[in-house]
Amino acid sequence: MNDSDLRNLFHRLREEETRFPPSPRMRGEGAPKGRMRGWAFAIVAILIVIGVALRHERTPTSDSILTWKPPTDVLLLTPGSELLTTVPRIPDLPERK
Amino acid sequence: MDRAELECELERLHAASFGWALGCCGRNRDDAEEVLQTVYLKVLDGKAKFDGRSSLKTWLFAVIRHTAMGHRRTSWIRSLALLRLPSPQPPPEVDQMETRRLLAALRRLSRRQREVLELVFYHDMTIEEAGQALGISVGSARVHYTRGKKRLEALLGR
Repeated sequence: MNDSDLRNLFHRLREEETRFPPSPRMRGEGAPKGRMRGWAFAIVAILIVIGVALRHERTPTSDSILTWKPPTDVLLLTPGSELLTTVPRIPDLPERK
Repeated sequence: MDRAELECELERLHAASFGWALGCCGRNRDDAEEVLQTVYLKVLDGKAKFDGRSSLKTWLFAVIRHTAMGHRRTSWIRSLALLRLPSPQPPPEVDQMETRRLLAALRRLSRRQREVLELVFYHDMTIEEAGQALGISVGSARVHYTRGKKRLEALLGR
């Protein structure tokens, strides 16, 4: 295949593809779909960011951390652990006078 | 060049511009049309200015390529943001077997090789003009042309 054959092949493709080109739209009316979609996407993204920021502001994060208790706290208690934290009372011991 | 003259020139080059936009948008007609309209608005609003350093066609093709690249980037980002894959491209509206084979072979070349070959064979530009439209040196364009043509001939010769 030489240059001339290649050129002919490309020209045939060009004829097929550009036989019915869309009419040129050079006016501002009917802005490109991509641009409209881009704006819509940007607006939605901004709204989401604002929403997340407001939600974050309202949540009292520091307080909730201070008052938080682990749900599995009871598992750390062992049988008889109260002996280590209390003073025993012995009622039968005679009182000194 | 005033607005009326520009409009006239753009209309004259419209079919060729559409062909190039198709090449830059992976043969997707909708995308090519959208890119082309954006380019026309850019040119007529003065956002892209012709400085006369090359022919109007070469300059316009560079603007089309640049706009198509931006379009592709934003489409990709949008598709990522919406967690969906880019829409599959419709099959090219080409009936003949040989041109189908040509398109399939072109898809297997590197982007630069494909662009240089399209500009030279499809749009009848010189290698120098192709280099200008792609923003690369003549030497680089020539390398892409030679390697691309060799590969294309091998692919079509099978």
